[in-house]
Amino acid sequence: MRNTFIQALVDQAAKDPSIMLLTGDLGYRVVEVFQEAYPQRYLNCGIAEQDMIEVAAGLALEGRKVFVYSISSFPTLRCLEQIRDTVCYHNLDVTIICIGGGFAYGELGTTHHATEDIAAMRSMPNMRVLSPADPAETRLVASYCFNTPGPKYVRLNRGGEKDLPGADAIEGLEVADFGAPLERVMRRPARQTPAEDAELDVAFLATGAIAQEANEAAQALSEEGVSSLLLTVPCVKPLDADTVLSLGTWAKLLVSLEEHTTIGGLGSAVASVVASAGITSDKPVAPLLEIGIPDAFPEVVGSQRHLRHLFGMDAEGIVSKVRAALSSR
Amino acid sequence: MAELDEITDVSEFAGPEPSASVPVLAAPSAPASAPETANLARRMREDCLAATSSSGAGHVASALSAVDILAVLYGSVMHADPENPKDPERDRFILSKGHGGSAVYAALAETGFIDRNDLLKNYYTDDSIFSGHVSHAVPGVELSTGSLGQGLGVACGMALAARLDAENWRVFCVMGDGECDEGSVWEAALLASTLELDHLIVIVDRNGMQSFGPTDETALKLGSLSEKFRSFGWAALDCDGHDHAALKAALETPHGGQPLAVIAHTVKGKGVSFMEGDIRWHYDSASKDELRRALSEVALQDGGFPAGTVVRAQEGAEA
Repeated sequence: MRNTFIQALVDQAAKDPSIMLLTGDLGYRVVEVFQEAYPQRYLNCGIAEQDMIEVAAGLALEGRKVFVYSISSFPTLRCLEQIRDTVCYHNLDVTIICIGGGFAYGELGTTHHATEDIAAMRSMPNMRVLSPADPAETRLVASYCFNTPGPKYVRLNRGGEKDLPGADAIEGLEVADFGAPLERVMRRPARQTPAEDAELDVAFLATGAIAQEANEAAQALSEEGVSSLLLTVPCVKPLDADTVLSLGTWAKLLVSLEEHTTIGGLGSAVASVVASAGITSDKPVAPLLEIGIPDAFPEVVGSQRHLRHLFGMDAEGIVSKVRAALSSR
Repeated sequence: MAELDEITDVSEFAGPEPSASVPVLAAPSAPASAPETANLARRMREDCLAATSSSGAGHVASALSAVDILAVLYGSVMHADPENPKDPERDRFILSKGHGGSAVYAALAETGFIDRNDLLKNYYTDDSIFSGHVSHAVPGVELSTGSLGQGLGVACGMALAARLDAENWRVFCVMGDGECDEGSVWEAALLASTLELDHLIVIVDRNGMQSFGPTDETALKLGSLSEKFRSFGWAALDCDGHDHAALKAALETPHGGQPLAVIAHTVKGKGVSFMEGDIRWHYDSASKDELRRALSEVALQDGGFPAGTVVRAQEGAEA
């Protein structure tokens, strides 16, 4: 996903001379392709994230379209106030690219887990929060960033991710189709959807690369006779509340999935929509099962797959949580 | 409102020469002479005192210590055109010590960017754009600040943009000395010298005070800031921050290939005897009676302050 985004940035920079890329001394074997193509528009700001955000803001005040690159919590929590006071308050065209969303750097330890970033970024006025599930969505998100001014946060996984089903349909989309607001959820796979009047047991709303686990869980549940729909949410803020609500009146159970604390992330955003449904809709809305990281740090390290398993967020854990939720209804 | 008008009408304290009759500031192409910036500084002090007193705002002493720096910048050094506040060729100004915002508003009011009565009536009040910490909602202000350590990095980004665009405009950034406790200041200082941002000029308002008292006694030992900036690869020098001729000379010091740091030695609360050096005026605003006394002192200051006294006093204190 990171190489996909940077390649899209290199391609776009040929058309848009205002694009610049700043890194906080990270991105070895990722950002060099931009540096080589546009050395004047590339800057390693050093291991100094607070300053990097301020420098990005200063460049954006002077008309540049600035992308900043780092990993884990460094480009968000380390410099949260600079993002709030300078980038967001002045509504500047700065895109923060974070590599290592969730447990992508699981073995490196808690300092390298980006697990509260969506909550922090969602809470910032003017900030858009983007979290693609696969390379196909990454290209679409990149295109959205090129065409949407203002502060944006892009949360990527790492490298080597495979496209989810339905990537073909997404590849063909232009940002214009993505919509204004862009911010529509993506139906995956696009072609195999139940008829709108069919019964639907479960609607998954998943953001980021962990959507792969929901895809596997949906297949397993299907073998048990549980019908489900997988929707990815590449744009967590603003959230496509209308679609969430219509899913909530269709499916028997809504399931949110994110590799992020359940406090303040996608699940919280969906929960807000569901909780206020009684005010905004006259139809009953399904309950919401939030799957994410509980309010705790992992006690051990491990691979992304392993840590997902420990927190019941892999396909197996998802199936068992969904099964339990459906049987308790 | 009648009472407010009475307070904000400073002309009754201003001696025989009401502010309306002072000469209009010269255009940037013809810089104001030192006496004219002294006159500008006098009017700015009146505005800072009146605005903070009538609204009950704090930080008046922080504004007063920076008034002469701002008067020299806006009146004599910077290219800033009130008729064209977004002129692409303008010099950029950032107040990184955002709590001195009333001094920036006063500079903008007294040089024609904003309406002076609007400032005096609305500063720090409900529904106002004039926040206590400087706000970019006010025409002529580039950047809202208030969280210390914020401005220098933005100034670096602007100066880099000027370089990339082969522009000649400069970026002036006024910081507080207590602000130099912040690590982000030194992140930005390293980047500025690494990139050789010679269009970047920092002025540190070295008034020697922060929240609890003297900078080097109540919190961190800042020591010589000019030495620190030099060791970070900057050109740096010290000057009397209330001597307009010295400030102008310092700001125009050639510094090819390096960013320039001017450590302007100042007195917190400068120009009002009972506010000078008293930490109380970081927090309190002048009562009506205190305002009258303050304005009557300031009214006599069109000639500026004797040169060199501040630096000598600071050197004596450090020895």
